[in-house]
Amino acid sequence: MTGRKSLRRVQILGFAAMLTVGYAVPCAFAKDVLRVGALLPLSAPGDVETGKKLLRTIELFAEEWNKNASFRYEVKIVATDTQDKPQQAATAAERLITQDGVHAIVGAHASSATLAALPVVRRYGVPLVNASSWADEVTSLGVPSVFRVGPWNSRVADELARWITEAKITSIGILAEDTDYGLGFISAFKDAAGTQSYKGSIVTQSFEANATDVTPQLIRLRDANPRPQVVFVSSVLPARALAIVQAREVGLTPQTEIVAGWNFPEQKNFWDLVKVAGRGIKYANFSCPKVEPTTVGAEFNKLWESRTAFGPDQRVYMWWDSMLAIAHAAEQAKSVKPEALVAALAAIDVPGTVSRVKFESGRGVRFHQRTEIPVCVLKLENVGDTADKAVQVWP
Amino acid sequence: MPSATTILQFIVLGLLVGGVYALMGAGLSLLYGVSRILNFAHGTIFALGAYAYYYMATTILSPWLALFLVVPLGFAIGSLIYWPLLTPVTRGSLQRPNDYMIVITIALAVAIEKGIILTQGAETLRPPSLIEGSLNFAGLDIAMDRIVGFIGAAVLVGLLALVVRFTSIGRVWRAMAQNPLGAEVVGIDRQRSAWLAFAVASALATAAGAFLAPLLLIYPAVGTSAIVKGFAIIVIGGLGSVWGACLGGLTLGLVEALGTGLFYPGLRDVYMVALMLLVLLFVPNGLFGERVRNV
Repeated sequence: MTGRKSLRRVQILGFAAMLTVGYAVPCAFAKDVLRVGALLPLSAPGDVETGKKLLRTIELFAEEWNKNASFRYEVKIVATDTQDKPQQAATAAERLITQDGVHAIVGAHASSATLAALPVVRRYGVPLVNASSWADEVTSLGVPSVFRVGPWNSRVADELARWITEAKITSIGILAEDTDYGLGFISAFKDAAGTQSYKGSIVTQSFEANATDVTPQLIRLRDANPRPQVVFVSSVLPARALAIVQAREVGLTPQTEIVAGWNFPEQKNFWDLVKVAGRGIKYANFSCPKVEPTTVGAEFNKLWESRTAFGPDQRVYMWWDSMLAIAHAAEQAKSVKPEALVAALAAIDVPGTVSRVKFESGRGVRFHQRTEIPVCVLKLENVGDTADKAVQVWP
Repeated sequence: MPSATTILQFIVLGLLVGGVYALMGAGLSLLYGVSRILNFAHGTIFALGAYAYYYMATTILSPWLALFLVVPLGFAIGSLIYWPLLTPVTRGSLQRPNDYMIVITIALAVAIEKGIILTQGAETLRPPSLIEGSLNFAGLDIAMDRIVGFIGAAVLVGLLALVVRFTSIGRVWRAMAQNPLGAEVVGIDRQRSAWLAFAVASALATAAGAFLAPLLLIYPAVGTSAIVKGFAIIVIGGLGSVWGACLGGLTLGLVEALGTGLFYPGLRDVYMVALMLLVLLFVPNGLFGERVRNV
């Protein structure tokens, strides 16, 4: 009887030991989790094509990051759809923080959506790293937990104003969507042109975000006196393609050149949408053929091309860098608490895809803004040309 | 101040697009006149027409053949929607048919849009042109597709008017519009006439989608603005009046084009709302309000 009791005790102890080992061993190797929420346009009327590409980018980042055993944190992505709508973005940010328990947020895509999410992240102190919203207000509002790795309207406007001044262009048209991004670009460009002592004319036209026809605006640009030599199209909506198509319809192009919204001509459906109307299209870009890619950028290019069917574009680079910033900040802070992450992000300085990822601590738009971003103007000469055939027009 | 040529171009553009708007509005108006159904899914049926045209024209058919096939396809879509979903409204078996009608057509609109996203993706597409290029005359540049769209819309609305005026189904529709109870008493099949009106309205919506598809890029939500315009047109023209819808469509196209062309361009929808308010203020029944019971 005693022997049986002893045997039973041994069995129980053995079982307990197995349980302990079974639990403890994985725990010894398990990583802590860094949960990153992503605000993306994943359904219409948002820019779904880009949203899917950006989701692929951050998922790829998580896969690659999590392969490295030396990192303390495992990155997990929680993606949510904003449809590029402000109200949807604010609700999504609230849900990510309060229900999904994310430690940091990347996004949103459209400026209006990002600006709507700012009060939410300000209230909870959760860090938000933005990559593709150009409105100056994203950083100039001075929200302590908000950072931007991508470009901003006034910077791009400065570069474009330098280009038109050096190219001796004397009449400019701007066709912009009536959003924070589009109207912000008009304002920023006028300021930049003034700073560059540009003496020529600037004619502006805007259209509603849901516009399905921009011919009246294009006719007014065509008939402006003097007629614009170059028209900047500042839009991320379906109308950006419509503008190029209808510019040809009303006879604005080819006499007047179109400078499209940044990476649109590099998107895979660009030529399907605009066809011959896109010939000779120019666009501002941050992946400049005359600028050597960084080591991280070159490695990323190889990875991207081996894992996806299409080449990377500027937004992809910027979103990769936003994930780099957050993941490295968590490693350096050894914590995923919001205040620790924000402090680490403010001090971060790591190599990125187009330049080092570090944020300025200045005032205004440079607050928590990455500033080392190359800008150039590219041109696609022929119908069907892809990004690798782009000619750098400036600088 | 824009030149006379520029103003003329805005007028021509407004009338051309207004013609296709009229096609949208005529279907909605016919349907309401005959069956008192306000179809909130009319815009998504318009989107289905645009997508159907795109896929037929880019795969197996020529754009022209695709255009001709879109009309019977719209008729079939309308029939498939009407019989299972909308017969309770016209059968008179519901206590609150209007509530049911609103909920079911809105749900249908959402379901169709999500269905497009799930099956076709959410990317923007550009359907092929019917006739490439622009017509240049008297200093005006007009895309050939706009002219084709206008002519096609005029032909279809004209055919609809002939059907309403001279055929037996037209007489049935007019009877239903004037006195539904009286029409049923004399043996008119209310279900059948409402089905035909719904199917014809759907055919007109898909045709409008196909006509506008080469001009406007298509995406799943393209029907949203179409339905808003459709309802604006029947408010302006008068509920239930096909001719009112024609006038409403042309007026709306003209006001939008002149408003965006001559005044502030970013207020296209505001011009539409302002026009609706003016009509409601001065002609509450719409421009053809007196004929509201006559189809």
